Amino acid sequence: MQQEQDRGFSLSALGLGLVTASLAECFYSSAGAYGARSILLLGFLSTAGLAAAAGLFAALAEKFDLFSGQGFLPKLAGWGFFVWFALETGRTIAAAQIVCREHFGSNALITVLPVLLLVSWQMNGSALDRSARAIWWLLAAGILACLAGLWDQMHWHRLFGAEDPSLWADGWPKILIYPEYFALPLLCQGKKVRRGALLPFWSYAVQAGYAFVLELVLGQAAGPDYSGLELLRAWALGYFSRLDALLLLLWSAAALWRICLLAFVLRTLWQRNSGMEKNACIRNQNKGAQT
Amino acid sequence: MQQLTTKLSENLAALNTMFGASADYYAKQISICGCPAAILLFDGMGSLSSLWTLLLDAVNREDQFTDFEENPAPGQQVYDYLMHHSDLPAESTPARTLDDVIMRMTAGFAVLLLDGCEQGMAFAVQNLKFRSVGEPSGEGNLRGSREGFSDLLRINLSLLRRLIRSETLVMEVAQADTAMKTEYALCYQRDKADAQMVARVREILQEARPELLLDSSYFVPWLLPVRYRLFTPVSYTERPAVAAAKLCEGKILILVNGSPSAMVLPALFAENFECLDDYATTAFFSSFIRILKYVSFYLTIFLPGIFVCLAVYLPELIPPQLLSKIAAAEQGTPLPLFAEMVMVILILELIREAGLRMPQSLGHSVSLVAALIIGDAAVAAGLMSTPVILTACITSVALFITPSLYEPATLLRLMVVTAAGLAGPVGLAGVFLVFLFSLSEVAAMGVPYLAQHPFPHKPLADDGVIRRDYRQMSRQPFNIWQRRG
Repeated sequence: MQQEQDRGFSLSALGLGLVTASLAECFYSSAGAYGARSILLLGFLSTAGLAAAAGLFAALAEKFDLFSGQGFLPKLAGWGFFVWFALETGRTIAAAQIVCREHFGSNALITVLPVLLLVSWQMNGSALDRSARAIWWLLAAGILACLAGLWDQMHWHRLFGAEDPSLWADGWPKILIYPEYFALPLLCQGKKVRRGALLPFWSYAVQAGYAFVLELVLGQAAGPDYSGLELLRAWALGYFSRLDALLLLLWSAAALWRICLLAFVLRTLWQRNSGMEKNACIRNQNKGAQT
Repeated sequence: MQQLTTKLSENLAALNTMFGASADYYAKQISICGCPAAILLFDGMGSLSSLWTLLLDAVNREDQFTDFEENPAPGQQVYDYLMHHSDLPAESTPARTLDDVIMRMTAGFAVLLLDGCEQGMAFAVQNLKFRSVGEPSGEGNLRGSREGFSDLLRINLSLLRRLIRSETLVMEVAQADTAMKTEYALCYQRDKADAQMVARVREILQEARPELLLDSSYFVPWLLPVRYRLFTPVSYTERPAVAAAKLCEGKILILVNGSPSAMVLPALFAENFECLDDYATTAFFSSFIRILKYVSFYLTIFLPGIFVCLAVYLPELIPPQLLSKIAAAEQGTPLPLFAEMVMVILILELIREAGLRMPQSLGHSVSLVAALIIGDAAVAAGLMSTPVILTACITSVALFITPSLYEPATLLRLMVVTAAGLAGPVGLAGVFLVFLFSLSEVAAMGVPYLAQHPFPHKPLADDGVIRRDYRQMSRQPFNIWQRRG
């Protein structure tokens, strides 16, 4: 198991975290703030630039052993990333809490989250990685069901307004930057680090896909008064009156998983920066025939 | 470890101190060619008639012992003659210590001690009474072998040897360091099992100090030490055919004397949904049955929790007609839906436990009374609603489809209901993750429990949730060590 841990996370597991975070952004950003064409085209350019920057940083980080936790520069970088990941954790918790409070009328996250973190505290990376696969399947099934429910509400003509606005009219679309993009040598190993540079495209796919479907369903006139959640609310399937709650429930599970992942990364960074990693390895040695 | 001495009287005195008070201890002093000797055995374990037939009948023919110059003949010479120049079916390894003598006697052997000889000779005259090789009650199947393991280790090993007629099958027998000195066997296929892992398991079993060893499962805390665990990455079988199949997959088998249950390690989660019949029917049908098993397992765990969560917190997700029926049924009951569900599940568990532990003659009466109380009286009295009972009963029946997962499923079902009832959708999402983590965290010998699971990179694996044609599968034999993470 130690060998597995050394291999780091799979890209699909990291992608799940990014897709979850991007979906949260899509839910609460103004629908129609940027046109689908603008996000698709300009967003692609931004994402390509971000991917190049992530790849370059990963190469430099590997060359200078930036995540080793030994030496001044690695320690500085390590604590810098620790703060960034901590902020990202806080942001994910806040997003999950908003969804839970607004849509399920519950503050139970405050109780559930510590219990979950306690359960997952001693978990290794490979276990988190394996559990990501199941959540991927659930999330994919939820997204497919959502698309199926929206199918007859999508109309191509809504993509084309009366006056075709300029591509630059809305300005450059907002680009989402997550710490995972730049912590690839910490999170992955080997070839995955290089391929991990394409992680920004996972987030881009969600953002662009969401904007595209939103425009197909609500049209360009959606305007800033609508939030992205209107897309889920438009989802209907026969008898069910509020299917948006179903996807939000699945998203909550994915968000909780992301919080556990971020907590794992924070723990790893803490141990590495404070030199406690070796002690943790020694503690894990007496595991009988488990490893 | 006390060595045998050359004086028969001292050896007999030592044994008499240990077993003299026991009614089954049998020590008969005889003379062979004038040399004082003693036959020792435990009554009921060794057959006296076999002993006389095999041994005394032969040694009493004194004309066979004409080679001896002295009279009485020295013990060592008699021993050498009997061991190497007679037709007596003596064990090739002599007993040199008192522990050796006791080990042979408790295994049903008769031991011959001679005056002037430091070694004892063991004869296989076992006459142990044991349960016959019948069909195991816990593992039903329609096709294939009906044999089940017995309680005696040697019988079980012979059943395995009969199925795997290859020189690669290794069955190492050792004695556990327990008060009862129980024997256990470590079985594996030399060419398929990972040699390092076999060595590690051997070492762990040798070092294990269980107070008692009554079943192979007693070794789990030494093999897989962990404080809390819902799923254990080992499986058990009472069928020699299943055990042989697992050995052919490179797995390691542990059998303990006195128990028909063989432990197989490492095990995969997916194997809980497989059985011998899967390979005897068509791929299409067995795939259908497997999907059904997976669905029933997840229903068992999550259905009551989802029902409570939707009915209480997210009624918008329930179709209006169904919701109105649930609401109407709930109006007449004094307890909240969550408490009702917990109560029904606990009552069903009580009934199950009572049915299991009661004498078989009373089991049916318990089931009948329980069914009447739960099914009719509770609803008529307005204590419980029909939808709740229906949901709990569906999950209870579904649980028996995968009996090997009974323990974790029962606990998880209660956890899911409690979390969903107390914390609503967030609790449901949280407990789903706990379930997922408890599955994905478990591994044995570096093989993750979730390997080859329905959520891998290849969902439609050769032998996963669905399986391919057996002929195609046979082209690439499965080996457990391929699944190492």
